[in-house]
Amino acid sequence: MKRNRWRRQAAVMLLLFSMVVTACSGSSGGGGTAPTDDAAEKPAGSETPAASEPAPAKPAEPVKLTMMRSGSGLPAPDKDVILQALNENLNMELEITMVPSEYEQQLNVKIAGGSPPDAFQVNKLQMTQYAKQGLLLDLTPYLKDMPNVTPENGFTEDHMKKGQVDGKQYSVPYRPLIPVQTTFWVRQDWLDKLGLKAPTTLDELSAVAKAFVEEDPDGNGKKDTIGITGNGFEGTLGPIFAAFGVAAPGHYMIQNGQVVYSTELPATRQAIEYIKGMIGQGLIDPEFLTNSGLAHQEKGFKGQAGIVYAHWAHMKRPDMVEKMNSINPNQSWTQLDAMTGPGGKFADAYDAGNTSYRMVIPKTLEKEPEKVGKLVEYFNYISGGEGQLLVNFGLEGRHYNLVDGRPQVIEETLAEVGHATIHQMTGRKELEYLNARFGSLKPYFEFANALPIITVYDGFSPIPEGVNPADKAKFESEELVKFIYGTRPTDEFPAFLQTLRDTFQLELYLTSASDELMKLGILK
Amino acid sequence: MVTNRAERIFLFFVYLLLACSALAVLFPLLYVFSVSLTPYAEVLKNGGFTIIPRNITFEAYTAFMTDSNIPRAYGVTIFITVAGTALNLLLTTLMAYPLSRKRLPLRGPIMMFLVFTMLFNGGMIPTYLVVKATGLIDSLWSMIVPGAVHTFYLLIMKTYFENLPESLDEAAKVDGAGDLRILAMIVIPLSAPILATVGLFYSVGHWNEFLGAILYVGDAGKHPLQVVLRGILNTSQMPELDFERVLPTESLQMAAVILSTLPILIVYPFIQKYFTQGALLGSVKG
Repeated sequence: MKRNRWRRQAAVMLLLFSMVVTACSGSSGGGGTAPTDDAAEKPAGSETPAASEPAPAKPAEPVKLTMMRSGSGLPAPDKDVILQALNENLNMELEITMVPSEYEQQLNVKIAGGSPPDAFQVNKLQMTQYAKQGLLLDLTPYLKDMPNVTPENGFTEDHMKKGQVDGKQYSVPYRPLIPVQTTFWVRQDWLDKLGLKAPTTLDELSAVAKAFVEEDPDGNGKKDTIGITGNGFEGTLGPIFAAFGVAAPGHYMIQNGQVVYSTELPATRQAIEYIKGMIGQGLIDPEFLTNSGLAHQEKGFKGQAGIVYAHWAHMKRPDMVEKMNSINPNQSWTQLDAMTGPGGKFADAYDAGNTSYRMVIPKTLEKEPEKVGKLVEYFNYISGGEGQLLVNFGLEGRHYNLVDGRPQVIEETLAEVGHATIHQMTGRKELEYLNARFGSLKPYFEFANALPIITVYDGFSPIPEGVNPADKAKFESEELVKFIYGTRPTDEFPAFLQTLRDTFQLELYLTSASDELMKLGILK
Repeated sequence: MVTNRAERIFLFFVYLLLACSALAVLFPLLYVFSVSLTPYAEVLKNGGFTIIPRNITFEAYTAFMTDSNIPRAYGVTIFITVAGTALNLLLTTLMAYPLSRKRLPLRGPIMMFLVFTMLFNGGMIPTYLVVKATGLIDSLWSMIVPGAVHTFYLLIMKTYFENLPESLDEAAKVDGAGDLRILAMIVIPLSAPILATVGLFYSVGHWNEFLGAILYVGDAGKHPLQVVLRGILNTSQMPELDFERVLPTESLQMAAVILSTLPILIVYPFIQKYFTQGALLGSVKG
């Protein structure tokens, strides 16, 4: 009796379980995903008319590769025309995983779990650590198989150093962009209304900002306008430090053959005093530290701010201009040159050692030379010639046409390749690319490209053993904010610098930066 | 109920106060909702603040719904919420009930063993290795099976079961019921409030599944809603390359908030009645 009842109960439980399990299989069917993972691997040829040329003795099987990167915005493989073409042309099945957040943690678990992707993105610090732990494949022997990776294509000797650890090449680094692309933009119609000229010096900039705050440039009878806005600490104050001839605090510069830390330079303290004065007079957007995304640009377009420190594309890209006109079409913005200040005429700091991506290959892949060979072929393919055109613009005849050997973008299909930057894993030749893609904006980016810059070398400066750079950065930025807002008197600046040296071991950082720059031949 | 005037005035003020606090809670929600329905240029024209939308547009919502990943992500999220919560409740109940009965041998050591996991855990990488070794990587079950029993909720449930009168058990035993029958026929029907509460905690947890998906599921086709939304709303990690991207507008962000909270918000009123119901109405005549 009792046992029988128990059986019935067990049956009920089993039923519950099986319901759960069936719910699972039901969902994967109903969710629109095929149970196989090969939905993406339909041969791309099935949509294009079959090529008539018989394939020469190629291995029939495409090489399967996985790649992991941080970021987002990659379309599904069936919509990714560039990926389909890459897979077809190189006879591979590349699967790219984009990680929208927590990239570092995910990479760590994958590597610790012994299943790293076949290629993955690292920053400078990770590359150094992993290389020292022997986890990365040294690509130096494979460079001879990459005929497109040449100085003519933008891979200069100095640039390649960004992918090296101890002289070994672990990555083909992403090629440089225009050094400084942000400039001050000023509301021209406000200037005209108040009878002012576009500022060229730091003091004129302050004067214009003051007029914008106090003289009601929008004529609404309220004192509701901001002078200067930008994006965060450096994205607003960088150009002001530059006018004093220094990079914003926290960067490594070279002066008189020595590596120096920008925070410690006398000009930095002067710049901080000057900025403190500007904030005291209310010339800078009170929210500038927390602005992110396009907040600064929107404050400009909305008619709240008259001077915006912004990227040329964010002010002049056709869709941005449309946005501006939909808010108020009676406004015009003028791109300003670098401000001249006590330290000369400089636009902003540029990190000569920085690169946007470094893709590396794990050492465990050595056991599969076929995969390594394919990755090398791939990195080479997208770094020049037809592969470069493909990852820049898409398919010839559909997304661009070659006119006198120059690519011309077809506007109608542009949306299909809006994600092209994701596929430019080794970058592009910047000016050629911009001219093809943003031809109408040429005056703005060429102007930005010619700006005088202050070079910094952070990207080349390794993190010394046994320090925590995040702690130092946090302390430094917190104190600097106190100084510019006057909550800590600037008389205490020397004490602050002493803390950096005593508590945060600044000397170690400088020594290791100096050693590395000597080794690379940048410091002589 | 209310007899004299003084009491009525007092009640009026109580209701007024409650109405005000309800409004204070609703206001941000209304703002989010309005911005998601207003054309973004309009929002900017109003200085970035809109409470009652003048022109309504469903652009932000259609932008999401035409993204091929969103409907599928909803499917994934609904599945892990439903199946996950069912499994959570089943396992938690089956564990909490025996632990609530004093005649269970080794009750103390088992409790110690459980509480230990509240204070110490393996950490991310060891957990990943366990998930990998059990073959759950890249499957939907990796978001359901790890953490199927949450110790804290187990303790809440156990305490609740302990408070049920022993005499109910005894009465059923006399009638010849076994343990499982007592659980299924007597304890569970009396435990609707706690099952609803714990079930809600669990299901909100599943609905907001993010980190587990990020760590264990590499296949974008199996990503739940929160991960996909985050992918759409994310501004890239490389601001210097951002100049080519179309960045999500505030309207789009607000629409994402609505899309991701509305379904779980709708569930609340249906569970509400279990929270307020007396737990043991009429079970034992005292």
